[in-house]
Amino acid sequence: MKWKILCLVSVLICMFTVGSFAAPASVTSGDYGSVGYITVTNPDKNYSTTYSKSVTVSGYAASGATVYVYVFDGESYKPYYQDGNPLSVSVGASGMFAIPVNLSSGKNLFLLRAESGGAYQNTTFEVNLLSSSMFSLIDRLKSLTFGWK
Amino acid sequence: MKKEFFKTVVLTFLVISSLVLSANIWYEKELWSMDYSSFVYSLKNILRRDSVSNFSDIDELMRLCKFSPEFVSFTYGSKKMVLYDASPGFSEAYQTASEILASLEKEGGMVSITDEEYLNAYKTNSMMLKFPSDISLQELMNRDDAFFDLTKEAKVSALVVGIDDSQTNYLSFRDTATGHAYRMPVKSSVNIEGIRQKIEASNQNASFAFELNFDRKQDDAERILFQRLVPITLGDHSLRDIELKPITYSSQYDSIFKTFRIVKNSARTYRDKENTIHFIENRSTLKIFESGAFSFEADEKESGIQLNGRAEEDAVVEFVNLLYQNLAPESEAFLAVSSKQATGAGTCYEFEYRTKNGVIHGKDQPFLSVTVEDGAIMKFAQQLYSVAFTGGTETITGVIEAYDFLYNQPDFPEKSKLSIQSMQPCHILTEGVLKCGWACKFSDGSLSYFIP
Repeated sequence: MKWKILCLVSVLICMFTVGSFAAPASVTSGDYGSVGYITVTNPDKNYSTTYSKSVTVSGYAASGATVYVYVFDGESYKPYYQDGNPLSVSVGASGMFAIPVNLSSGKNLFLLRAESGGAYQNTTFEVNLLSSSMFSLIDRLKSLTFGWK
Repeated sequence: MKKEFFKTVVLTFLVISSLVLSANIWYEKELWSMDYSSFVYSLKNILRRDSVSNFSDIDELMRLCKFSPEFVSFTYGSKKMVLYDASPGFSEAYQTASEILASLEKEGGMVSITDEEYLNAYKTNSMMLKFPSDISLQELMNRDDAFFDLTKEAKVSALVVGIDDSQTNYLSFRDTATGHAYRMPVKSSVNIEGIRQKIEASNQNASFAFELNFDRKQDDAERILFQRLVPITLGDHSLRDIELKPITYSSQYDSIFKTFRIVKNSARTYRDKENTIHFIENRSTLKIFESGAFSFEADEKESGIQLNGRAEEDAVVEFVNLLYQNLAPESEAFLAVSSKQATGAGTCYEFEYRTKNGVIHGKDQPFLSVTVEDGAIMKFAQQLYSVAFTGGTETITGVIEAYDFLYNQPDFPEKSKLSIQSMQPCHILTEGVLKCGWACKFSDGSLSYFIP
């Protein structure tokens, strides 16, 4: 009896673990899926730069969809983990979503995957995190320039 | 002889008095011009406070009505912390914001800036205050003309002040009357280390709608867009817990009789089947319902409450709050206008309870409605409550979950033609139960309350 209960608990744990991130373990570049499941509003360009250590990725997805965040590891896009958990969000009736994502210094290549009823759409974008020391250097240069005037 | 003389004097006085009073009644004038029946001339004398109110004076309260922000936000580094008026830390944040505003010293002239420069001010290290309506910048900041030079007459609904020690800070705002944005270099002596630590320790994530481009149409779908400065906060919110106690008919109601010039002992009085007491004067009626609610209705201007040519809305707000403070001096709330509608002959003002820590809306009916016609209050209906903070907190869902709720409402197609001007967590009284929810104000001025 004990074994049966243990087996049942193990099966349930496995089911819930799978259910929390049901998207594929990796996505290859060039796989865009269907169209019309996701629109990214921020970042509003495929390539952007920032001095901020995090970015809020936002947009609209199909109502009832789940949006997963992936990051490029040099070979393919892998689920993005934050605080030990893969990052995903369930979308409500409005389709609106916003996910805060921490950035690594330099180039960050992200892929957002919206899945709904077996169909999906992938969209990619790049965020370049500039060093804040560069920011202060630019500021110092600016002040020097204005100082000459 | 002497006795006869005094009798004659007394009788003459009585006859003259009776003739004067008869004439006053005949011509429908006030019987005793210096008594409480003369509300018109002595509002503040009648509505004297017998006990200490939670608001030091009516001027402080009027200032709160006008200048209390919907929320205060602080941006530092990559974090933004939004404290709504109902949030537990709002009072401290507002206090810091007020100190910063009061300490600002001018470091240069006011200059006109582009839209992009104005919005950038909200992205940098800064403090921002958002007000429920357009207010005079000069009145808010309490500064002389020289401080604002070219923007003396400016009205604002939001302003932002830089809080970065490493660079020049600016006070930036948009004049809502002209649409032009301005900025002025400023210096503050307030130490912001405490608030900086709070922002860093906060686990809240927020952005303004314009930062996430939720203020612009992005696809062909039917959507309700946000206005630029609506905060999109992620995660749940805490609200200070409030207790609402109904006030029932007691001797405290005497100030209602005095205010509305109903002489309790002489007015025709009857109680109907629903236990409502009707007090009927010659040209006005006061009803007191079993629940404690009361209503007043005047048949003609002379029997209404004269506002004496003052700015109508200010006079109404002051009047309702003076009366409310007499009826519920221990209450931690005051009454503020929630909506204003033109009626056939005048204007109907509806009120909500506002506290120093959030708003309480009446979903099924307003807490108070006042109809003003030709400079006089002609109708007045109020459900009386005393408001107290319990010390606890309650939690509600974030903006996105609340926004989802809008899409499931039957009036969604109509609302999709509008934009969202503000979304505020608040307390909502519905079917006699106080709940936490969201108040959503649309671009046409309409309000929707919902409890996700």
